[in-house]
Amino acid sequence: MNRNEFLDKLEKNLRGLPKADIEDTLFDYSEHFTIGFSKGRSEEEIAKSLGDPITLAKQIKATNFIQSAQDKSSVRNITKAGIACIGLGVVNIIFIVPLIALVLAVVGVLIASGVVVVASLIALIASAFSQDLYSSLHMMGNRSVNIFLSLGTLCFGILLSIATCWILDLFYKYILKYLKWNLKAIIGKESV
Amino acid sequence: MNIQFKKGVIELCVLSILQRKECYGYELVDRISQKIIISEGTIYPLLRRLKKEGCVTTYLKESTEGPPRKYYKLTEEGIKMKDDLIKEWKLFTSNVNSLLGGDSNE
Repeated sequence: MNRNEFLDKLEKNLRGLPKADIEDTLFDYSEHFTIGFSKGRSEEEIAKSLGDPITLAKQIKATNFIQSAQDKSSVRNITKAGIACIGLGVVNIIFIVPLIALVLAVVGVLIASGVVVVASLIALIASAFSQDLYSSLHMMGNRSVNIFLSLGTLCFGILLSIATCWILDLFYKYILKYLKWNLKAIIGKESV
Repeated sequence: MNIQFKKGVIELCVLSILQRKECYGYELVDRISQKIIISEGTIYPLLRRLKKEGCVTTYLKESTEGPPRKYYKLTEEGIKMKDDLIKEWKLFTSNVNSLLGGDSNE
């Protein structure tokens, strides 16, 4: 492989990264070729000693995405980081499936708690404030009891949503930690 | 040399070299690969990570041999990280040595 082939492959596989990062990276490897060449080494030899540009690009992308996921917590960022690491073979696929199932389950609970909050809010308003709503909802039983019950479920719903948000936040932190730890292990391995 | 040893050590080597002398990328790769066989291309992702983590900064410096070169330099944070890693390394190697029977007081 010569210098241009190496840099081309590298650039192609870095797509998805911010432009500044791509240019920065290409600068580094270009400089490496230039200096190596000035010391009398051939482009082929330099390219060979650098290693596979596709693997290098994957490592750089994974590192970059993990950093982004750390800087700004978002579903998009952690997903990009996760996908980049999977592409590197850094993540055990068997680990992923139950993890995704678990995350979806927690999200499901969060949505359900949202529904509980809304429903109990409606019931509370109906029982306490609006006779019309109360009868149109065909609510039965002692109104005070209903007020009490809907207040209870409202609090429960709110607590549940807070708890699930907290759990999801924890998941995010630990997934990120796992990705970082595995990436360090892989990059360390690739350094040899 | 065993792959397992090399894994954690490359970062420590980079930080230590940079503390003693600010280097440009090729120079760093050259120094390390003289002592340890590595895939040279991975030094640059490592340097990028260290820069993102705030352990190193870069600057351009004129060179008599061609275009300006990008130099790497340790930050306060980088020095601290290096010190921590060296502590771990020394502890680790002395423990291993004593297990290997290097401790003559046994």
